[in-house]
Amino acid sequence: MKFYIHFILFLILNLSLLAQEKKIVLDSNKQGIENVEIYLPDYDLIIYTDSKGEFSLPPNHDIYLIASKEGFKTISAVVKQETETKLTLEKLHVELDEIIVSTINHKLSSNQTLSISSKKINRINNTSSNFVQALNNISGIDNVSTGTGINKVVVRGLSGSRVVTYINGVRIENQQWGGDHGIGFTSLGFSKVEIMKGPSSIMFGADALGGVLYFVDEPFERNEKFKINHNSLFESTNLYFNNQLSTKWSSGNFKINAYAEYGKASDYKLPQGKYLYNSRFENKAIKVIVGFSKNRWLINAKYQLNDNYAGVPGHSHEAVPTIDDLTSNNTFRHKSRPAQFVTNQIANIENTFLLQNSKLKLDLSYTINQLREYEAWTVPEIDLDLSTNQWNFRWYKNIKDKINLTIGTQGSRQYNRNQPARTQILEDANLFDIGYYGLIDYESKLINLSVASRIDRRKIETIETPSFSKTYDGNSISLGLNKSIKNHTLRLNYSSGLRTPHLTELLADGVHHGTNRFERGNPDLKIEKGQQIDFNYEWANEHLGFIVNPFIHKIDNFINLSPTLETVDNYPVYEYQQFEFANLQGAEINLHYHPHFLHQLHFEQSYSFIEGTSNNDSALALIPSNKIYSEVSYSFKNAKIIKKIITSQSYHFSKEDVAFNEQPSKSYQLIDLFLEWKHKNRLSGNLGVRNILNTEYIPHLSSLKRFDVFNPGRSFYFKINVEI
Amino acid sequence: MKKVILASSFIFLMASCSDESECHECHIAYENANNIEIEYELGEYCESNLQDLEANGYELTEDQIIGNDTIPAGTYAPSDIHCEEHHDDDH
Repeated sequence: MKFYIHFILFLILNLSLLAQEKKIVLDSNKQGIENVEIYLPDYDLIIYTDSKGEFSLPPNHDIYLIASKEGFKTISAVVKQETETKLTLEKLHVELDEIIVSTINHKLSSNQTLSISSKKINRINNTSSNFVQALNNISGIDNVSTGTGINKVVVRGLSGSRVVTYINGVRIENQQWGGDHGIGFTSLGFSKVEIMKGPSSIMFGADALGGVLYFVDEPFERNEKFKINHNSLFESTNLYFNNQLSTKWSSGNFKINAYAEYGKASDYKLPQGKYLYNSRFENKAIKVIVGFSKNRWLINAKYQLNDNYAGVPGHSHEAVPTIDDLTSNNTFRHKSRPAQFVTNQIANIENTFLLQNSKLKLDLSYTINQLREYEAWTVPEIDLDLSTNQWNFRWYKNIKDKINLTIGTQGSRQYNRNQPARTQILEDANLFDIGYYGLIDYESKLINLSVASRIDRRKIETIETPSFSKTYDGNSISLGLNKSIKNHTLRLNYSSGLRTPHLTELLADGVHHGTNRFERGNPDLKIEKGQQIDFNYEWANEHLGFIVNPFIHKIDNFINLSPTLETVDNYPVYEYQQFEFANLQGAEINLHYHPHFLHQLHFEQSYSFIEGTSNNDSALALIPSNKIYSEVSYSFKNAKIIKKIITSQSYHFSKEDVAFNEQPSKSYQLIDLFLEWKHKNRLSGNLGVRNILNTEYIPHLSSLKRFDVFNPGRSFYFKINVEI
Repeated sequence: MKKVILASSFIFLMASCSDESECHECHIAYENANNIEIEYELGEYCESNLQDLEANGYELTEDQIIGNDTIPAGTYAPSDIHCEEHHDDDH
């Protein structure tokens, strides 16, 4: 009997599949468009249209999808299984900012009330071997660097504990408080990064005061054959080679993406020909994503391991080291000392339940970060293990078509433990976070509005005696408006955020070898509270577009690491202190021109201006210099191999308004040139040269600035991509 | 297709070879009255001997005269023992 029931159910299911009506994507001339990317966010799945522009959907009720193709305007729609659907894409010549569908809230950029920038990782990797450095080309984004191996992102002048990094729904905890602690993972398996500039505590919790980096995994693809992709790149300045291997496969309800990476760099070459000793690094990574869907339940299980080694350049026993003490005539790639070893493991499970008019998401994750800093070969100076359990529960409900409600709770339990080492900068401690939030969106053709609120509680307690235990409570709100009239779009957003003092700011009491200073915490520090007003105006016609985005961000109780006159064991002592408030203000401007007579030519320019001052009108430390980035690209329509040529210029202004004890920096410009090539469908790549003029330059946020160490000189770059 | 998979695997295997040396030249770093570092070479240390030296330090039994400086006999803490390489070392 059971067999018959199963047989009948099987038939019904297959009939429902057969009952699916035709879905097609057309251009404005009613011609089907081939190879349009149909992305289903709920399934995290990409489907491509066939040669007639047709596609089919998984068997389910109404499905939300996003259709996009380069050169066309991206659209989103809810499609019903049982009705015939025609989606029409309009031609588009000017993309002001990359047209995005945010993974954060699944809205098209044109409907956002938030300030979100997005970059496709593919596009970043086309012109750079270092994806963190490549983000510098986005207005308002910079990075703090120690050579080429250690980089971390700065968002509108803020970094470290003030910028939160997410990989999909998982918050990455990687001892981000340290200026010398890099991001800890590579671009392996990511499709894009979304950056929220300014306080973003509502969806991302306490600490997201300066902004959020949200890395999104590549979606699954409907492909019953194993699709294998191999990327190799080489960079001449540090003899860096990197290999990435990926495979994608799906069958029915089961999908899998798997990746592996290995990269290694030797000491990089300075413009004058010598090599910066110990600037070498190595990275290894694996990543596996498995997806399964059954009726209205979708589950993704993800695991990634990143194992990084980075030499720490700028090491010398001389009291006042010169450039000759830090450089050599040859380049080396073996592991040396001092060095950082960072291992990150991230395991998470994402559950989505598609209910009637609502959606439930439950994410669980476990992350482990191991940070070991060595000066000796066998005994670490610092050895810290940080493990974090997180949960994230969200419920989305559509009320009366135009109103969407989101409520959720987010929490984590974190354990910081020292392993045997020469020094201990942080005590063993536990941290407990819980937050509750609600968000209402109103969307109509005339106006989009959003209102959101959140409350947070954090408890920090140390294990050792005398014990430290403190609970911090706070709340955040966000109000946003977006209005479009013909070619004009206005966006106004007010958001508040908070950041509780980090353990290191409260309790540090020791030498931090990565920064060569003795750091002393202050257990009486209060919560930092930020408020930002962000105004965005966009105008675009068929050939020209621009964005003007001024902002002002006030942070009360701003925590600052200030130098003192004291020394301990010859290390200068720095203490955590608090300004009454700090102000960050600036503007980002983007321009895109595309002449009517030459559709293949594009000219883009972006300007980033920022100023940071404390309540006593003195300049804040580590505020990036202002910059202008310009790019001209030309696409070859009928060329056999060369597809595109891109040249870019970035001009960084000098930085004279600096904090006490901070060095000013000089202006510089960099010019790069790249070619994109493709041979048939399976072989493609890029080649180019960075810093063509071999300019000697030191970025304002380089930690090697105090030694007058330049960044890399002219470098040739080659990348090849093979699809099997 | 098989050739490409094999070539990819080969590149990965070649790239993953370890090259970390297990023996290192070590010295006592002694700071004289003028805050200038004077080095007393201890020779090459390997594996467990290196681990022991870096964990427990070194017992110098006699005064050592180097140029115009004297490195006094005594116990030198792990922080005074340096085995890391510098730019001018012979690699």
